[in-house]
Amino acid sequence: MNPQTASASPSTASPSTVTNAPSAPLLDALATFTAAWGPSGREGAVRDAIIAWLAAHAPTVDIVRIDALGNLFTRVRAAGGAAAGAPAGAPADDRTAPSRPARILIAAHMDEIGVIATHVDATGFVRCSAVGGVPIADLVGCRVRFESGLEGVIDAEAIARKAAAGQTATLDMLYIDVGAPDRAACPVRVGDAAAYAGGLVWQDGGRRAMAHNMDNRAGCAALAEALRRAAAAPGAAEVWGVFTVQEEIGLRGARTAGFDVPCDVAIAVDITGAGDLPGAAPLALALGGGAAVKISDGGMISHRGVVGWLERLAADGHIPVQPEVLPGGTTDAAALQLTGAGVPAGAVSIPTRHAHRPGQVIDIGDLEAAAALLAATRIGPSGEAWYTPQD
Amino acid sequence: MSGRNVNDVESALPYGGDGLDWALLAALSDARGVSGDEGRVRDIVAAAVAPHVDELWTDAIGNLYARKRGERVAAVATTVRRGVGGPDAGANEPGSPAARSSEPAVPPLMVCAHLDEVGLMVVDVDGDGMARLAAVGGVLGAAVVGQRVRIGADGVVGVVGLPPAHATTDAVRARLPALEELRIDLGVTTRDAALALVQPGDGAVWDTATVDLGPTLLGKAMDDRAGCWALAMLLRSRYPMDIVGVFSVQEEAGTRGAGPAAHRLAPSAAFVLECGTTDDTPKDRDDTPVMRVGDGPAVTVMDSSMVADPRLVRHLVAAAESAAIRHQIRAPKGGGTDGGKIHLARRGVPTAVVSAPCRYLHGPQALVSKHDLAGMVALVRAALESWSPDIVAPIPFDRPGSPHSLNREVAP
Amino acid sequence: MTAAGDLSVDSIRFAALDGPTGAEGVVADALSAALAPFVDRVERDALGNVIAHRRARIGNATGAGVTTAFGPDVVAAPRLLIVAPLDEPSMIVARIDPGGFLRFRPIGPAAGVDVRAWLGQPVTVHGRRPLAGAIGTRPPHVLEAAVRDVTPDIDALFVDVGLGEADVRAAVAIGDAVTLRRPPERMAGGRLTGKAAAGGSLLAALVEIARRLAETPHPCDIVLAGAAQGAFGHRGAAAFGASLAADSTDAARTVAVVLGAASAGQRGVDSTIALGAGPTIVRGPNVHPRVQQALVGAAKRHEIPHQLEAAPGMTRTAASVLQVAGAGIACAVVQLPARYGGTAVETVAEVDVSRLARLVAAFAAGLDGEIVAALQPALIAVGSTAADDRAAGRVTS
Repeated sequence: MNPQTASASPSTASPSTVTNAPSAPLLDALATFTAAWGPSGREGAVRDAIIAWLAAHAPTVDIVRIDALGNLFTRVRAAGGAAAGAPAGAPADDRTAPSRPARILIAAHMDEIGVIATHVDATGFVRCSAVGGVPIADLVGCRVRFESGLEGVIDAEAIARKAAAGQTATLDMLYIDVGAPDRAACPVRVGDAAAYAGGLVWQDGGRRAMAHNMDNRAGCAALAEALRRAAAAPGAAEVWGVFTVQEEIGLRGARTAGFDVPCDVAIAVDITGAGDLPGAAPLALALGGGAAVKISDGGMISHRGVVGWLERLAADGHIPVQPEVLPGGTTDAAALQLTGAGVPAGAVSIPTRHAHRPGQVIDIGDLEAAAALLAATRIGPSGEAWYTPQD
Repeated sequence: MSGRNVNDVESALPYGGDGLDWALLAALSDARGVSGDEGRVRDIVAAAVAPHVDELWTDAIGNLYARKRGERVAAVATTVRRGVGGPDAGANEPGSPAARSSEPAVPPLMVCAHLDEVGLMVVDVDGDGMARLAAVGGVLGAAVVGQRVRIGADGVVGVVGLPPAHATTDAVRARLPALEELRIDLGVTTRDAALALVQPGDGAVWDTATVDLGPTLLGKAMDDRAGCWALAMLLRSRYPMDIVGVFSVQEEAGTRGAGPAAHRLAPSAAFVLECGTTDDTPKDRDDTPVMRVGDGPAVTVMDSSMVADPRLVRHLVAAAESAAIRHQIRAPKGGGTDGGKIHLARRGVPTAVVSAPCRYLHGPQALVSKHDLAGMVALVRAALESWSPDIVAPIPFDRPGSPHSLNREVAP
Repeated sequence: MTAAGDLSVDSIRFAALDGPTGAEGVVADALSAALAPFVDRVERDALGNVIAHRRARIGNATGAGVTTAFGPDVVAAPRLLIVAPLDEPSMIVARIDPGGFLRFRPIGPAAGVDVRAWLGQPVTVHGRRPLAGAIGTRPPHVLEAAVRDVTPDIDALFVDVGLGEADVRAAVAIGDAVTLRRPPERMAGGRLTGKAAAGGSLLAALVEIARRLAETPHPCDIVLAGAAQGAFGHRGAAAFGASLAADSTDAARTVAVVLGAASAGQRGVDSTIALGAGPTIVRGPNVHPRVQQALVGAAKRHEIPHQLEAAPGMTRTAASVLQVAGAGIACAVVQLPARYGGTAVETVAEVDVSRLARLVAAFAAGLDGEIVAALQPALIAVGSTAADDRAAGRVTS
């Protein structure tokens, strides 16, 4: 969707009606990042959009490097830290050195789920595999978009669907119709990926927003905005913002990113589920309830000290938060926690309805709260003993 | 799909394939080595590559490493010894920069194939002397029932029985048994007699001898002895830069050996040589064959364990095209390889996979094409000979419009 | 003989503690205190692991002179890592419902959890203060016949702590841990039963191993680890394993013996592994065959009853992550036979606990550089020149 349209729309909502009024750059980040195409392993356009946004809104954030997998490393130095010269590479592991600023790593994954072409049949229909946790049975009728902008619609073989009546659709029944008359004329090649088609839509007078890839462009927007605020007023801690690749297919980018940045605390920012839906499973998360501070999910248990620290930062900054105990699924923090000898890790989440579906809905106040809480981490965990590596 | 049979390929193998050591591949496929019990296979590989490489060593999990020095450093006299420890990647490996301090610290290229095969394990013995079994790796009951197997270090013969047809009902015959329902008959009738032959934990594999069909080979463990064989063939040549061939263990038990190997070596890039499944036999849906036997070595774009580094994919495809090597793109279906662990080692390793297409994988009779295998050796050799460190240079981000997108199309 | 057998620490001491996954502090404290007299230092890391170090001792020397395995320039003893889990299967409060009913989830993956083990169980909710409660079940009178025999869904279960909603909300927060409340008890036949009978016994064995090693020379450095989050992908062991094996030389001098619980034969489990027949020594791809053989050798030399256990895939122990941590660690797995594992009535034979401790301590005392060197196959001789290289006219070394 056109980013101009997207960023212009919220102005129709009166700022006074919006609690935790978001900043204009945050809304611009959400609009431009959701407009970028990037299924797992194909995140280049999202990375470009983030680099461009940082250049426009936060030029003092160091862009440090892009690693072998495609992770983007950025940094905000601590107040009074070394003058920003040529951005250096990865920091040395100096965690036992005395009197140095705490190093906070915040990761947001850039990729989104999708499908990837495995075959074009003689009549021009495309067969596919899943990229990440797409709800295969519910793909029927979904529109998908390839990198070139080509769009198609997914359907299931009628005969196979009938034969499997009562069962859920499986991948081998599905095909993508891109309007090609035959194999030779089909522009899709084996190995081409596609993501949900869609765009950013504002709801409830600008207080809520829906997009096909809030997971995790909302988290990218929150992190980019947090870096902007941190760079404008540096704190005692050095903040590394890492925009990671391939989270949806196994936290792969975070694994190598965490190895590269020896940090004192690692935090992921990602979307999470919401329990305020008809017939939802027990999940105490509601849209508009604030940013979620993760206690546990299907892949990790947050460090108790990190949870307490984030809750204290939220209380001090009057930032609304809610606790998160997510029954399944996980995020980059699970990989970051196990880097080196183990790192105190936690996560800040944005409650999201209909995750991994074509219309993912968030509350803008929760997004603003996530950005504010992440920005507050630049204060650092000084005065708390739990993050200090023991000898 | 094409109606062409793999046996129709021309009699003379391309890319000098007639000069390759096909007997070695047969010996490798016939050797018994389920995951965790790769010693016999490792010994064959070590003997085959020892005359051709500069260093050869193993590690705690059983991986075999074979270093082939680059042309630029091969003339430097070295003393092979176990190096000293240090904080850097691979610093204590023989021939590492720490052990050869006069040489530049250029990380090697890693080329990896796995030693192990899927199979069975004896898990217990019943009172009547029948051995209970479990799968090592992905093995179905259908692949075991009615098969003869060889067990343990001594290759004890056993059979997995199947009642005579006249003694069973239609309902029984219509169902494929699960592994846990099956037993291995060792020919003895008491637990003690059975325990004199086998122990819980002994590996077992199909009793299959490789058959050379001319253009193709039929054997039990082409996955991944074909890759090991190709790597052994490649190690006969010298390349511009250091290569470490890694013959990894326990791929079939969860790609376990390659991760520690990549952690040790911290290579600048890695190529994985696999033997991958095809779905190119007759079926009623116009769906992907994944790969086709006879269509040449396959380059992976994405599988369930890894997104292949697009720069390496482009390099492989370009190498194949410039050397006129028939090749194919593997359809991104499920299945993973050692690459899944290698590419996540340390700071990340650019990694690609080249597969030999194989029919009837994870069964007692797997079929591969010599044409494809010769092409695989030729393709990887061409890719190594034309290697440049610039291929995996850091992705720039500071020039607007610079070609840093990894989204470059990879067209076959 | 006393109920505790010949262990220096009674298994009951650890089995009585609550160590929910991710909040193992109480157990970690107890283990640290129990190990401290026998080791040089005890550490705690970011994941909550307990890691105790004891340097090699030969007469009055510490480590020097026992190496040859790691190259001519390296003076370092081999290192033996002995690992037991700190935590027990546990749950976490996910939501507080009207009426003060607590909805919960298992900590760690829900797949493979047997909900039947929780029905009607007494539990402890680790809130602001520990609260006793029970997992409620509906009586048969009110159940439709069709659902009486159906295991309820995990989302249908709740904990009742017997307080009003306001009191519950004051005392319990989302994210609080829940553990089974079934402290250990001794049964006839030398059996110990309770919600953490096996895990507690393994920690007692770990302390006993340390005590025995404090009384005997041992040529290897010893690291005794209580691993956090054993029920959650062995995340604790993954962290310290990656740290211990980050460097290839450190990895090469390290051997791990991982302690776990084996499923013994019982109703519903068709296995020849028996309670009271000694610890099991595991064979399979997850263990290094020579370490496994050395353990069998130690068992035979010291006439310690033991059983062989086959593991065709990965074991359910920390060896699954330690073997491939960093540059890789040679692992062995020694298990305590247990019945009804992971339930409130987990049962072990105490005689197996002391045998397990004796076995591992005997193995540790006999582990020297020579054995560890043998675990690291040496360099293989290579041809000095390659015929194919010569034929190709290329440079050879």
